[in-house]
Amino acid sequence: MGNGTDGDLGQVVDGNALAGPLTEVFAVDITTARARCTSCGATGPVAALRVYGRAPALVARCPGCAAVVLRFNRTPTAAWLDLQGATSLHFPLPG
Amino acid sequence: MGRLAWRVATLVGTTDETPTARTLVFRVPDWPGHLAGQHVDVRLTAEDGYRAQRSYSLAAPADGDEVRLTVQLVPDGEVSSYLVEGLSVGDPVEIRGPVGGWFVWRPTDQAPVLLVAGGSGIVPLMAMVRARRAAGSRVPFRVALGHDPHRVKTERFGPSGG
Repeated sequence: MGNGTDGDLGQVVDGNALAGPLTEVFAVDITTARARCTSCGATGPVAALRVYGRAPALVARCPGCAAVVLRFNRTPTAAWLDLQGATSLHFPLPG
Repeated sequence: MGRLAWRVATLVGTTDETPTARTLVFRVPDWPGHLAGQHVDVRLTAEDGYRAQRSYSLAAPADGDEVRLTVQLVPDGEVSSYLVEGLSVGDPVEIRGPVGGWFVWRPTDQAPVLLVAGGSGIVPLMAMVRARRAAGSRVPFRVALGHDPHRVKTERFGPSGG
């Protein structure tokens, strides 16, 4: 299951670590959404991205090709979400 | 602000799991409950206002207002070192959660389960093993745990096992 969610963010963790920060901007749990990587076209759950925290933002990379899929930065007054590396996000939703 | 508020959690007990890992029991008023495999974000605020936050897996099923986190000490880790070595009973931290719906086990799940972890990755799996036991589930579980690929320990939880 990836690299685990836990720990000090100098380490690489898995995309589950995005769940808390992104609850501030999404109405549903983004970690269960499937993201398509703009760089290589692979799809997989956001939970399986590789998240690097030792930066001004959380940087989530594709586990297949290592391209940046998503970046998220929370400042004291705003949230900045960069989805340039994701062609699409596919959310499972109940009918 | 977001839909999930930061709540003040008070440390009420600790258990040392290994020389470098500690289970922290927090009391969190009005805790909404959680699923095995979910995690929380823990936020620390220093006297000068500096803040740091990290994600930690919940180590046990929901038990009223009590939540359990098992934290592995990371060398030079600014948050884990405080949680493992600095925090005392009665001290507060802030907790946001539960979050994460991808890697969860529900007591109603009927499929056999294989859980594989290295090191502190065992924590969310233990929450699932404990949830299975608490629910009286008979679903077969197999847990593989290792610190290196050559020494993986497996344990089976099934109708004939624990």
